[in-house]
Amino acid sequence: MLQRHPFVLLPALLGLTLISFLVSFSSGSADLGIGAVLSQLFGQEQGLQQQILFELRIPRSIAAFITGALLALSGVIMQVLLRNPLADPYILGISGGAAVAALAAILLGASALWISNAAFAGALLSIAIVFGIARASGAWSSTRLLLTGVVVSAGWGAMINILLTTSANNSVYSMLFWLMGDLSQSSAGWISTGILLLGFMLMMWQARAMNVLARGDLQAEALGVNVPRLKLFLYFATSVLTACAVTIAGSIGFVGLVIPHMLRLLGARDHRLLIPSSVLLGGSFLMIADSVARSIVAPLQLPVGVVTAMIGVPVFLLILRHTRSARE
Amino acid sequence: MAFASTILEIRDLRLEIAGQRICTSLSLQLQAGECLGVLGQNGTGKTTLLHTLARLRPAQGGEILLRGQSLNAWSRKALARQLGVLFQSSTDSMPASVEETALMGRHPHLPDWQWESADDVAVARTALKAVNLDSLLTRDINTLSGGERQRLALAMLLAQKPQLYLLDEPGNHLDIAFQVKSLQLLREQLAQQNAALCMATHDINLAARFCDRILLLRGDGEPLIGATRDVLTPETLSHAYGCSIGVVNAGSRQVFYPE
Repeated sequence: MLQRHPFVLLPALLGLTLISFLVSFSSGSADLGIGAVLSQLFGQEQGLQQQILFELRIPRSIAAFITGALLALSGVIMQVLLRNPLADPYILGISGGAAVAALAAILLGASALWISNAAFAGALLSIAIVFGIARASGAWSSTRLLLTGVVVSAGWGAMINILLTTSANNSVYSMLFWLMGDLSQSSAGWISTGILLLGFMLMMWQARAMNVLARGDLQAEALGVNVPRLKLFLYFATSVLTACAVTIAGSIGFVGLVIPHMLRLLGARDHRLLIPSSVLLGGSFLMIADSVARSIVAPLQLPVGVVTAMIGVPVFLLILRHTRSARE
Repeated sequence: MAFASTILEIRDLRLEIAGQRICTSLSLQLQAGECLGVLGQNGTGKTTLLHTLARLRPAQGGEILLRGQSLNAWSRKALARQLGVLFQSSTDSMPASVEETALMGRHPHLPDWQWESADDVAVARTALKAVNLDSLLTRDINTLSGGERQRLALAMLLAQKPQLYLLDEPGNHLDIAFQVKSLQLLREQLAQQNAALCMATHDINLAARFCDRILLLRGDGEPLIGATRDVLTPETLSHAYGCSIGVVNAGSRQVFYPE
């Protein structure tokens, strides 16, 4: 069972990722068929189509893939760290801190680059606050971390509402887009690609220890896992991954919560399989959602965070229903 | 006869929890093949003592040596190859299959980046077979009954193959047949692997049957330690549990009951 799964699930997800890239390249307000995309990619043609593909579509698709992968990976880690299946990357207030800073930057009329920088700084600030408070007593329990995060999150939420209600109409519009998660201004650079790769490698290194940690702190300790050190490591890993995702695209919901669950329901419970699968499925899911977001009401664009939920909710419910009836 | 090696040595151990003394100066040695029972009323510190021996919490004083080396000198992972714990209750909210869970017992034996080998899988399957769970390999652990969970925890411990088994209420959730069977199984392991066992339990009769020595915690910081026959008498038990306990002889065995 354990040994056979990777040979079915991972190739299937790799295939899905390739298809998602092609779909993502070909969708948008200018009509580019998949055939046209392929001939652009591998042919010698020049012109407007090529410009659209290489300057607009491909960077955006890559940004979508990386953001989705970062969020799904971060969700996997957060759920183990808090041993709570309802945890998502934003639960400890990282997106809240980023949002307050980003909204403040929008209010001040900053450029897209500075909005991103502000978001990253806000996320770091929130990580430090939660860490400082949760660590203050010395003990580092999941419950305490979760409570601290949720309360800090609520604080950021209130500040977001203050900013929204006191801002001028035109900036409220861009604020709402940021809050719902939006890829139209995004590009993912080498730094976020590097962070994703590094995070992925580090998590694969600790994947078996994460399996053990999921069985409880004491049990993990008794099986030779240095639990305080691993938890600290996971906390900073999930924080940096989330901060990076939020910096690229605002707070896109749903991906980090549901992708790991979908895969667990499909049988990927071992983290050595769950981590690579989440990266692939998270990335392709967000690419598909982004393709829908920019083509369904073209030339207008929907915030991608709305689409992730629109696609994700029915798909997740279907899988849930199917696996329940299959198991019982 | 094989040379009797000391697995665990406790010197002048002082343990307190929330101001209550569990022991003030406890010293004992546990030899390979030996089985020690820890008895005492609720709240006298059986679990605390066990967790201290597993380095899951610090002692207030004294020293604990595992195979001649201070407990604190071992790395976490090396310690887990020497010492395994069966916990009183397990918390499961993340899904995993029965086989995956039993395989976790191999974690301390595997280097980073390495998957379980065919040998590890065989060890885990043997352990699952020993506790009659080999027909449930792919079942999700959240669907198991209390007794099945306890047997799975035991299988994980067997797959870990430690030198010192620390059991907290090994009879929990198990029917009477499995209580006896699992302890017989463990005694066989002790003999085969030259290991030692220390179990905390409420079940005086289980301890009387399987333990060579008894440590009786009495809530006053002065535990009683000695051979099972010497410690388990109606007088000491009645005093330690604060209720009148009688004994009947059934063949070569003694059976204790509250009067």
